[in-house]
Amino acid sequence: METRALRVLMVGGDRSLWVGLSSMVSSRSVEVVTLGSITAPDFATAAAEMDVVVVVLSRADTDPFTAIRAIRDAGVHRRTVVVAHDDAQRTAAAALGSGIGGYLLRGATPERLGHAIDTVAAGGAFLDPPAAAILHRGNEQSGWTMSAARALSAALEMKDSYTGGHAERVTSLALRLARVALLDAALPDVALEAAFLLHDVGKIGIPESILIKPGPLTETERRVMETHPMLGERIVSPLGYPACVIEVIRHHHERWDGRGYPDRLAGHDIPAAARVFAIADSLDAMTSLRAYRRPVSFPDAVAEIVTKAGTQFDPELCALVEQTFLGPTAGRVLQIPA
Amino acid sequence: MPPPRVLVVDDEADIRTIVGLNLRLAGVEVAEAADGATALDHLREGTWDGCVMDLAMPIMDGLTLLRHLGAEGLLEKMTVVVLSARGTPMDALEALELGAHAHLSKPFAPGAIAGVVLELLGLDPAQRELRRHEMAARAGSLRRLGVPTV
Repeated sequence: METRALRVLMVGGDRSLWVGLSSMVSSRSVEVVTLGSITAPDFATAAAEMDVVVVVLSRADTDPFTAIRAIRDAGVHRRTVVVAHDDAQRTAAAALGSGIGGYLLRGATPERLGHAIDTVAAGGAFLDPPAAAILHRGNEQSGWTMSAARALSAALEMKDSYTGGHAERVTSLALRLARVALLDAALPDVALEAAFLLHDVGKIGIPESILIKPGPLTETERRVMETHPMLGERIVSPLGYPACVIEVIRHHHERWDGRGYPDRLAGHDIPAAARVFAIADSLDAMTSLRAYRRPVSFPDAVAEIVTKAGTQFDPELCALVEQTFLGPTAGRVLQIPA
Repeated sequence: MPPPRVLVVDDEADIRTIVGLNLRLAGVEVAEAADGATALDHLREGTWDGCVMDLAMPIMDGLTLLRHLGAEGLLEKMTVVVLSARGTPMDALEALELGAHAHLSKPFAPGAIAGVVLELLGLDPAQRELRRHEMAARAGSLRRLGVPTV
């Protein structure tokens, strides 16, 4: 039996929320440490030492996406319980899509908060029923879910297992670069994650004789293969995903110099998320094992990307590639939850 | 033998590209039109083995195009496959009654369209006419029964 006190870091919120918390956590005694704000410089350090982190989002404080990002950056998302200040579906979707362990709405009883802390401390996930309800309440934003994205991605993987895990790996790489490059774009991580995961979903509609052909493709076969961004857009459009998802799917093969497909967009006409993705896609293609060539080392692949700045890739993004993937902070990045 | 010639008629450029490329992959020579009126002009002029057409289009829709082709005796000379949006089964049945040989509902597997077109192109003229009459008769009875499917 665990006898040591459960250490809980309480971020934000007021005294009334955590007074009496100890009696609500059934398993053991609770030691509560408080921190004023998630933007405090020592949040990550403090959180790392705790069994459970409780983050109370407040209207006055930082926006929920920044808070969720900070939690993920600290690597404590699985043992964090978020208490949301309102019932916005976007916040709930972003938190759960980011792998946050527990999610409650403001106004939840201390008993339920205690239950959430207990569950998360035991390695489980806790979704308060009222919070679960907002995820099912239809189309406030769109009603789209990460689970639909994962299901579609799995469907493609079954058809084209040759690329074994490419979607997951490239999603991880693209999210890392997006974090550094798209901070101002206010695109929620969870939307980007869905976009990156689904980039090749149109390949479901490509005949297998082309998709898994062992030899090189003929000119016509190559052009049929190049319809996959259009097919992907058609597959995903009824699901009501945010615009950036459709944009990544349709435009991830465009090139900075306008020689890509399907629309031959150039420069900043290519949506930002698609420009970020193109770099990650190329990185993964170079560094993973393919039948026709050996994988390139990660630093070599990064160097190769940089040589294509201004032709294949956005030069401003290329300037960020090195610091993102090889810099001192490169290890402190999120992993896509399994 | 020269490759068969097929006209692809759809107001959506993406669909024309997707259908056109998959037909080319199967060895078909493809031309495109974005509406029924332009398609009618093309079909009156050259020699065509087939036509793949959308039903909902601006300027002239697919059902009107089919009526013109039927009245001008052009349907007997070629294979016609119609594409219809999901949820419009009555339009699809009407197209078959008007003389289309086959119907695919969107979204369709892009690889399947060439199979359907090639099978129909492989029929001799008498078999093709028989197919057309069979489809029209079946579609007619389904439509009278009000069965919302093909």
